[in-house]
Amino acid sequence: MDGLLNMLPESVQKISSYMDFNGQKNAERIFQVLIVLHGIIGFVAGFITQQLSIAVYILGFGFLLSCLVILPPWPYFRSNPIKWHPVTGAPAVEKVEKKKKK
Amino acid sequence: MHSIWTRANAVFAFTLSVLAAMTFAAFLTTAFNDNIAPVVIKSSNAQVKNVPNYSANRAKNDLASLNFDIQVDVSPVFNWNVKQLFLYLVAEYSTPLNPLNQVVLWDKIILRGDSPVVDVSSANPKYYFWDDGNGLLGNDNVTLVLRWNVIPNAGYLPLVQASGSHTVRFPSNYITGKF
Repeated sequence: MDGLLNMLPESVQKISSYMDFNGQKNAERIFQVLIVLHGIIGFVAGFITQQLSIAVYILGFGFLLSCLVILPPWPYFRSNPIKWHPVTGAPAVEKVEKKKKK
Repeated sequence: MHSIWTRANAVFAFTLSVLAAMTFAAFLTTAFNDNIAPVVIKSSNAQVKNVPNYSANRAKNDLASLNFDIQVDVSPVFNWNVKQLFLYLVAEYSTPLNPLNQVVLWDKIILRGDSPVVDVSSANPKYYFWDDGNGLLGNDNVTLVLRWNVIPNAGYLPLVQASGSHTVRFPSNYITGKF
């Protein structure tokens, strides 16, 4: 898979599909609800029509719908970016320098 | 879940799990059906020959012929978890050699959507009715029964016997020449 991805043009590879942690949590819950809901609707519709293929098609529709909703990094999933602690000097570099002095 | 690929993976895997649960539920809705339908079987013109069975031991064995009628409506067996039915007509009898002989004489596949009514009249056996000895001559208790396999979309493969059977009496002397 990585080999295939590396064959994409540089400009495409640079596109970020990142979601923040809150967005990931919401996305997971959204696709779980969507797919289970379509599974239940499909089961009932298939049972009423006595056609198992209808149940499978409705579940497939739920899959496509959740792909549309959660695959692209919609702004909703990036609204809680991580707040990093501000940089306070460079202690790692200082320690190294002190060791060298000794 | 951080990149588009991991999300696609998660959605696809979860869809497959739900699909498995859904097909299992579909199987449960039909798991307790008895899949039985009534059948009327009749027969006529039962004859026995004593000829060498070149497909087996080359000894002279009994080969029988008869014409049979089958009337059955299998529409109650079909539901959303049935792909097709495999109907087959079995002749069951006992001989001094074997307490139970079972010979398949005829079969038919009924796909879902095909006409569920089977009405064959004075049909010949599709497959040879051989005995492995001389057990058919004068045998007055050969029972014809219709059985079927229910081939499902999901779940196990029920094997049922239609309600109704027919007893054939074979004559006590061989015929010569063709049936």
